[in-house]
Amino acid sequence: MNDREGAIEQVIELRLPSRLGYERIAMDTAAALARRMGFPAERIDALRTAIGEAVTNAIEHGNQADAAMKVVVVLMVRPDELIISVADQGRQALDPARTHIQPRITDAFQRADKGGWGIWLMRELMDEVEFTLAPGGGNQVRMVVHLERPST
Amino acid sequence: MQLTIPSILGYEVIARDAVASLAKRFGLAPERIEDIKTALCEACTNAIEHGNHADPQRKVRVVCTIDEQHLIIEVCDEGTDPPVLPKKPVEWPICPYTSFRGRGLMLMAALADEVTVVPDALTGTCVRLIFYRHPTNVVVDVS
Repeated sequence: MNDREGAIEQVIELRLPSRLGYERIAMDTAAALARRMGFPAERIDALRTAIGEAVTNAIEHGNQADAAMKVVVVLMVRPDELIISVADQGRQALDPARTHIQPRITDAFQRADKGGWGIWLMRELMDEVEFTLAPGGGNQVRMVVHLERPST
Repeated sequence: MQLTIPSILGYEVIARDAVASLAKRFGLAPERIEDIKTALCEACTNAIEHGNHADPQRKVRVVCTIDEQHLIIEVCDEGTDPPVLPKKPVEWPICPYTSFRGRGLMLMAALADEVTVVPDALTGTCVRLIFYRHPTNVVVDVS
């Protein structure tokens, strides 16, 4: 690692089948990485929740739970931040209007599935959240968490 | 699932935790998971240090599949120098050890139910570790 030459970024890529339950593997893998980067426990919990929501969305909505379709999680390690991108193969495109939704707790009581909070949660928990198209044409969400080192 | 890590010592623990998470969620016994973690770490550090000569530009790919009977892990590097695995049952050297070289390969051979090296002209070397999920009632396929 030599930051003068710009090689300060390391990339881990995780490919998962679109089967519910595999979001847990992404959560555990990202948590293992974040712990070793020195993130505090509550940030790691937030990260787990946000990645869990992103991967669940990719499995259920983007890939319509077709196990043959892949969810690709890229974890980019930088000295002062962790960038997580979650991409699906886009069997169903995410409506851009839904990426800025503000769910209301009163509506949630009317819903049987208690869904609809994922994107809001990601925005609440992560420092940056951006929805784009994946290189292969699917949906992609890019999330950033900043590593705040204790000042000495 | 497939995980790709850079060839930097320390990243093998991320692969270890990812595979342990999968094994745990498929209900493998805790002591079996410890064997899997140890063997996988040895395979990854070999791939990083020997296969890829710790060149961060080179990748180590870990592919983990699970079925009713097996958990199969392939650890692939971009090197051209496949390791020579000891045969089962592993014969451990007598103490005191003169050298720790080769100990990782011995651990892999001892802990996995089957271990093979698959040289790949395109990508490098793959070590395949097979763990039986129900060691007592598995019929070994000799084909």
